[in-house]
Amino acid sequence: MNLVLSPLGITLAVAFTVGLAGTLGWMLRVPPPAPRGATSSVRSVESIRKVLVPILDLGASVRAVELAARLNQGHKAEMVIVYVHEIPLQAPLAMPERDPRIQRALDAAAFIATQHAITPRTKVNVARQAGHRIVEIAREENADLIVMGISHQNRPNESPLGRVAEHVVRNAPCEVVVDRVPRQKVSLIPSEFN
Amino acid sequence: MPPPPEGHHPVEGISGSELRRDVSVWGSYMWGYAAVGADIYTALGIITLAALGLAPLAFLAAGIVFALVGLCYAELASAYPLAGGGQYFTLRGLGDLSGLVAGAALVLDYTIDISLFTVVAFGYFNYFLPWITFGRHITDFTVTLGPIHLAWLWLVESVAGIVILIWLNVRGIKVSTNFNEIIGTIAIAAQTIIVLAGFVLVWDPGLVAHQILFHQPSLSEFAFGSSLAIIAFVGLETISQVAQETRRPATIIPRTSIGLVISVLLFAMAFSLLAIGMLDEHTGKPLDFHGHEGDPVALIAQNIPIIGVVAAPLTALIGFLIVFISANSGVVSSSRLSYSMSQFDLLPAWFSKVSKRFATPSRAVVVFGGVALLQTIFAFFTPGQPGKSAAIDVLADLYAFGATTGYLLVFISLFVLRMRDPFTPRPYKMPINIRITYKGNQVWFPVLGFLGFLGVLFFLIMVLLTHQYARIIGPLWVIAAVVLFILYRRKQGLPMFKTLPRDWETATKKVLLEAEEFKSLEEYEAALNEHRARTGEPGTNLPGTR
Repeated sequence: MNLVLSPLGITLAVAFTVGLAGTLGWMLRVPPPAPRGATSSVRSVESIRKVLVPILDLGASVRAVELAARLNQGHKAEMVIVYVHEIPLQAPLAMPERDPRIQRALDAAAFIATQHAITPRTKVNVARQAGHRIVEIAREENADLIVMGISHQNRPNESPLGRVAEHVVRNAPCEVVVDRVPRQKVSLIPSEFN
Repeated sequence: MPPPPEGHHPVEGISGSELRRDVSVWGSYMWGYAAVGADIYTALGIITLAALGLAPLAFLAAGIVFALVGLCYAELASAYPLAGGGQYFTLRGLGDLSGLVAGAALVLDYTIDISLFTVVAFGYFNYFLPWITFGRHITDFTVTLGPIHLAWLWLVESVAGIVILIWLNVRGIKVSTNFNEIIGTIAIAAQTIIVLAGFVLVWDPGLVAHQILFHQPSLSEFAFGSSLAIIAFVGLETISQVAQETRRPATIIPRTSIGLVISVLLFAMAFSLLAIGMLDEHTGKPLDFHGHEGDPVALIAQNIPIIGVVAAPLTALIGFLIVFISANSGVVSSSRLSYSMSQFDLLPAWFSKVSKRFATPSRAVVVFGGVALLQTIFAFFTPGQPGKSAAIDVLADLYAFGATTGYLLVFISLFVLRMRDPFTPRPYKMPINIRITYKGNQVWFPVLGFLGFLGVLFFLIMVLLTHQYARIIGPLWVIAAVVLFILYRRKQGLPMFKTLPRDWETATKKVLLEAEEFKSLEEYEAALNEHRARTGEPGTNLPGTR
């Protein structure tokens, strides 16, 4: 009886065992089945191809871009960021020239999106009623989802969502996510420019 | 869409029969292992004799192509979880005539599977012959008829084995999944022990280096050996064949296919390295597989110190059982495939007639079992090397043709189905793809699939150049199938070279619903709706779904 104990042979035996056990172990760990309701819910979110994020100021509505980007992670849906500049009735309905407030809000929003590997399309619109214009843009763009952020403050006689969000929720042709930022977080969000 | 031919039931016919989905992940793996895992028991000796010191390299070359074939099957079987395997994929991708050619090539393989594996199973059985006949070996039961060296007892055993398989399958007694699982698990455990004991106790790297350097085959010998090595990996089809009985096929089949590819490759490489790196205990020379073509793994086990006394007979017993089960899977698969082909109007409906008494496709079982019998007799009566039966060499020579032809068509179907049917969800996709736009749809061209296609094409050319029996009998078999197809279609008044219209969309939805693959079903419906919304194409049958 001739025994040949070689280090290479022992190494191969160990590698074989690890390879076979690892392969069979991986194969047998089958992920649990998804019930039908769950898959249709996942599917309906995955089918979102265009997200519209309206910006009204630098505060909660820019924060909505972060929220929309996180919702969109992995799906690679197109993101459209629109700054809607509301102009009172007594002023002419014209695009304000080089308004640093608008540019900064859009820059901040675009920066947040690019941090999530999303290249957003940005534009500026003027309107008498921001809510009406947002709904119109959603129709024009054929958006699947509107994500908008609102602050907690309400004016007297307004609904809990506020005038603009209320109109969007009631009239939008697509899914709407409204993020109402709680009072405690308001101080963390920059809302004015120095 | 024109109406289907009279008497033709489109959805029922193409979505398969109501088979119970009862095969688990281990069961699916074991069905594949019973077919592919048995190959090493058959192939090791003849390939080592052909490729000599470079046998591991021959196994590696064939193994790489096999891995690509495995990934291709994983994608297609999880996307189309229906019985039929390669023939079904080809039918969907390339149409009726190509489906027939793929089906004919695979049926040829199954019939050779029956012959070859029955012969080898009794090769392992004959390990015990000296115990029964008081020391006489199988070589003592031979007669020489001119150039023919006839191992008459082995022939009688093989013929009896095939007759038993035919009888069992006509009566509907098939090897159950549980039995398959038990034998397969024991076989894996036994093989693992032999490999580990072999590497740790007797494997000599110096001997391997010596064999590689000084025992090299010629180029033509290596080409023959490596093309023969493909038979060590044939049988992956079986996982696709039982796809319709597998629970959650879209999830399980890719896992079992990849698991099978890796584990079979590990065993093939390990045994081929052992085969050239061990000394014969009695002669003190490297292992010689001459005369051990029928029981090569038992020869290895026998020469391992300490465990050899027990391991050798145990290996012979397991080898006999698992190889005989593999032969049985050849009977099941050939009859099931021909039954499926006749439902698609590729073969006469005669083949799909089910026995009233036993509820089995008895005609298909008897016909293809009979073909296997003839092949076995032909193989035993073929002249071979002096003093040696040529049976295994002849059958192994034939075996590679059907597999390579079938796999080649399956790869082409993969490309075509990626282009024409981007709607069907693919829970698993072959890795490395290039995105292209085809007829307005975004499709992914499989780079590894293309490499696999080239690999299989290379092996098919090698088979045609170096396999003296396969290059004649293989094409003749396919031509005979095409002639039968033409005559049948003509008699039925069906178009001879046109693909019949079939409602694949309804069939796909039905199958996915039955398999409870809801995610795939919803993805399929969404993809079709999106396509319809984009193109405005009405109706139920879009390109790629008819």
